[in-house]
Amino acid sequence: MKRKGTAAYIAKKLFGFVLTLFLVSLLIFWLEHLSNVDPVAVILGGKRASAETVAALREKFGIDRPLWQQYADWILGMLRGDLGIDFRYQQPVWTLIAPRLGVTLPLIAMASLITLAVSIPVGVLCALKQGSAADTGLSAFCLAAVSCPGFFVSMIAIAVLSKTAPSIRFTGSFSGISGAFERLFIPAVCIALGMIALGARVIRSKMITELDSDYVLFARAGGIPERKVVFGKALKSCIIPYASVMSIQIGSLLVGAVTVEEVFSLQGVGSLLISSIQGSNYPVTQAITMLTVFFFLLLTTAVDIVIAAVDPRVGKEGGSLD
Amino acid sequence: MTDRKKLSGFFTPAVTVSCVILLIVALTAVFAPLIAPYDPLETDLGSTLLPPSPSHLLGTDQNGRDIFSRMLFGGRTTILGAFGIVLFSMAVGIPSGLIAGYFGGIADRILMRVTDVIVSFPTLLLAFVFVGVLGRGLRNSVLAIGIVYIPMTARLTRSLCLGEKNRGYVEALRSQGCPVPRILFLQILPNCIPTLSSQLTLDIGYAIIDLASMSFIGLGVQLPDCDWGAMLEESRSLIFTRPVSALAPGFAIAITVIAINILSDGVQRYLDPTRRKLKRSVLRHG
Repeated sequence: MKRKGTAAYIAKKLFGFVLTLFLVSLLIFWLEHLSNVDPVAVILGGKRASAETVAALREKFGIDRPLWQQYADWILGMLRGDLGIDFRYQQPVWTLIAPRLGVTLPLIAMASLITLAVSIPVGVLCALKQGSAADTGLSAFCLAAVSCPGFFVSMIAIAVLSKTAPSIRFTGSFSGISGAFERLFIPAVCIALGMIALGARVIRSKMITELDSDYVLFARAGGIPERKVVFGKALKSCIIPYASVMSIQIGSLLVGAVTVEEVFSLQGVGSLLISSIQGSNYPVTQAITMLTVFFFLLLTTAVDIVIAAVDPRVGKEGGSLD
Repeated sequence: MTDRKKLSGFFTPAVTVSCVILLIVALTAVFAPLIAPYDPLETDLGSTLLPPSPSHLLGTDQNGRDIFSRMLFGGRTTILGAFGIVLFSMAVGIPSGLIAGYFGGIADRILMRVTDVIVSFPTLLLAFVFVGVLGRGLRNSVLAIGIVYIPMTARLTRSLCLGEKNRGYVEALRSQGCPVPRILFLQILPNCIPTLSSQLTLDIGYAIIDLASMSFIGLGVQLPDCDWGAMLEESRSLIFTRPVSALAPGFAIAITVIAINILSDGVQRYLDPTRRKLKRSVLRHG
């Protein structure tokens, strides 16, 4: 019975994933064509051109074709991994994005690992010592951290570290794993801070409710050691809302890290998106937008499916998460 | 008597301090032209990068503009912008949420599908895309972020409306032939306001941060105007020499948003001590 409900739920999630991606692609394509910027003008970049050149360009970039055909070309190309050719440099879009991913993906990975490593212990500690000085202090810190924009945290970090640790470099290129670690660690901490605070708050509030519930009382009464009750039983239920919140946070980072990358002069995916938006370079904007939404949906859907697989309540009539 | 007793329960020390802070922020935003000692746009190349002094409380920037005056006017832009975002999301989100919740069926399916598409974008990404289409600037950024905020408001209103529509008073009104718009806006909506108000207060805080991010990236407020986000971007070069003046707009953002968070928590606790807070991020996929 349970298996059937879960399988149906997972199938529904997967169908929703594909359908949403399709609708998103329509929306992105339609939005770009709403704006009144002429792609040919962008391609020419202000240079004069004869009517023949313009016609040739229109043909080369497929702008002369009917809209539905342009959409079909674009989406089929995407499915084959061909992101198109950009207007400004007339290069394959992928060659512009790939080096940026080399910066942003390690940054996201580091920020996520730091978040997972810190937020869970902090949340559990606050819940266990509810009302103590440690809890009050950490909770106040978390409130402050969720209220500060990432770029502001980064600027504080630079202001403080440039005084206390002048040997740290905040600009320039880097290479190799140790170079990346050195250069990306502080930006990753700045990104992680807000997520740690959010995650710790989720764990704390859920943990407090769980520790107050009947099954915990029963486990304690049965003589199960407190450590096992907290980490073996109560924490399990906390992980579910925590995972949903975190998948949304981490999924947003591909572009969401842009303000922090800006402060630390990192050439990430976000800054490429911003410059392509400002330059009306649609093929790049569309490709990055699609990639980001794909990454975001993939992560959130995967977490939903894993939760459904481990949590018997999901997919059942009347069963829901919070 | 009971009202007074209840109100004193609302004003805990933290909430009181937050209210005072928000009042000060609001007043300085409204009366910025009267309080500001200098014109925020007036450049004076004879007095650039002055350190803080009694005549320039936070010193001057690279163009000789008084940073304190710019903070006051910048706050005005930030606060008004954030209100604009939330008001816009309410104006669209509340009616559509009520209609979807009340009628269900096809209206509900359409609303949920549209909001599904919007929430499948990370917040800032969609705002970036909209600004790419609409063009840069404060007004377009407010509109873009406002659109992104609609699903949260609409879904919350919808779920509250679902809870209300089967209650006795709605059935009674319907049987009397009360017009549907009247039921929706004058009977159901008032019962949704308590929960909505706590969430919308919180949204103003998020709106301040998102709008500041847009300006920081250069898609929001355009020169020579400023808001707190654009000011932080401008002052990046001052960060080593004059960190306090450079970071002042950021502290303004942080303090305002912390106060808003505490106020929202307070409203929540006051209205319903048992209900847990609806986290925005949970709500997005709720």
